[in-house]
Amino acid sequence: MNARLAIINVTLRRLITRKRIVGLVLFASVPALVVLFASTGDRGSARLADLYHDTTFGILLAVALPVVAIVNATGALGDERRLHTMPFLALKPIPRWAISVSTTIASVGATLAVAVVAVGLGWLAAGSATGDWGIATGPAVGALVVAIGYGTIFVPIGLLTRRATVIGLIYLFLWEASFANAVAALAPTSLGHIALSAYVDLAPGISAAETLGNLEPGVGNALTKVAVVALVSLVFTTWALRRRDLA
Amino acid sequence: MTVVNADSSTVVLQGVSRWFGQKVAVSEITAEFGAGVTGLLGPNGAGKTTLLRVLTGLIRPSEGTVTVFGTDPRSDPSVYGRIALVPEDENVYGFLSAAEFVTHNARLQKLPNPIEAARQALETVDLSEVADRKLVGFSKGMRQRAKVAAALVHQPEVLVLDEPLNGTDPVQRAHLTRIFTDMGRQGRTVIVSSHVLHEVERMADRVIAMVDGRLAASGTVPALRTAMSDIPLQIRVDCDQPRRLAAALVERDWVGGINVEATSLHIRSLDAEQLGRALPGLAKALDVRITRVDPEDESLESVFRYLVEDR
Repeated sequence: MNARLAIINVTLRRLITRKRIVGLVLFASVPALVVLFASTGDRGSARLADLYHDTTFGILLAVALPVVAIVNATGALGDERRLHTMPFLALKPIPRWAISVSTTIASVGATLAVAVVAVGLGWLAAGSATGDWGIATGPAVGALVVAIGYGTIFVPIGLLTRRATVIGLIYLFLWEASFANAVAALAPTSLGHIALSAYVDLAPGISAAETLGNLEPGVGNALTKVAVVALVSLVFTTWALRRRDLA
Repeated sequence: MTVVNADSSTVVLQGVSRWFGQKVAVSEITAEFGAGVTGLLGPNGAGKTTLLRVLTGLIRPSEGTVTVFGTDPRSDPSVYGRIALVPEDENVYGFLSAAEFVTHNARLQKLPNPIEAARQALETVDLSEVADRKLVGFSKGMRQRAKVAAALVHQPEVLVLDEPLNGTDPVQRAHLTRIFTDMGRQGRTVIVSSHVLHEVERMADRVIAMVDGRLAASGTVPALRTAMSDIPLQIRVDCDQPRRLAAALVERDWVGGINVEATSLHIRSLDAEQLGRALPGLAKALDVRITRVDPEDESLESVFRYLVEDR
């Protein structure tokens, strides 16, 4: 195992603790449970599919997974600083960009682990209830966009401030859920809306499409945008590791 | 104050200051460190930890420069292959076993055989038997040793230790002290901070004393002790006839002054050792029963403050 893999391994083990993973998976599995519960009643496939998409986007991708990603991303380097273990990571003959890339991969990976379980459970519940086993393609790509977007941008913020998680939640609930929803021109600044644009492209006709604002549906566009966000975050994290205090 | 500690310096601080908002933690420190053990001595809050963090590149100096092997560690991380820090903080990756923790550090040092290097480092600090136990269950002293093992795993040329003996028992303390002094003898640069004089005395060839973020004194341990011998100390003596004992003591030239209370004396003495030697004889001759003798201001803080004021 080389140095970069060692950092990814230890960061993942720190982020994915048993208690944490159980809590986050339960939190993120709410949409699957809703569909499972609804499927026991007398509803048609179309209504169950709508319910699945509404809860998947409205709860999983708009709230649960971003919260999971913010917690993981702010902890990836922020916990090293907060818990005073930074010397064991930073005082090593490793280029700062390599630390930045490795911890960011761990942050995104930890969120994807939760996303895989949550989307997988939803897929099983919705697929068996509607007979449409391709129903989870949009959610899967949307979850990937969320994990990369939130999972990268909050890594440097976690390094720079102890209040990164609070800042992340304010961004999520104030900016994304309020302003970007209310003002169409602000939608492109919202990671949630970018994820929705990918989701809608793969699941056309869902009611959430009305909240896209100025964004056009498009998987390619969404992935390009989060790739840019990830790149900017990596540069910012590397800069912070080089220029800012690490204790 | 400028301190030059070695013929061939590995670590050089040039006019280093560090402040946090309005608080000056370290002020204009110029010092050089080379082969051997150098003790960084000072009371809690003197700025030792901040200085060591600046020295290792963990935090930036507000002013001045730090070079390790001629390079600024913050701009050239490759230098971390030659240095190591044992931080004061107790925290380690509790979810890892001692072996995993040290092996992880060996991997980050890019050692060719990290598992073997970790095994040797754990053996050095006497943790082989508990190598597979999770660090979360370790005592403070065991964690200290695990951190030392992690620092030693790549056999650094410069070892920086921040209060490394905290939480260790006497046996562990003696063992760690021997490791550090051996490293110094091998020609490595060992910088060890402590607020306990006798701890540093056992390890260090040279001492730098810090108070309020400034260098207060430097030199060999005996030289520092001599400097401290001029400091008047206040000693409290509880006895049944304080006036009688005071009358006998006040004639001595090493007594600077005496305050007499109902059952005790507060003696200002320039030579505490002589006072200690004289008291039993005087008590016997005067038939005075002494129940307690305590230094009242022998803390490092008061000693160092005296040194700073005296400069």
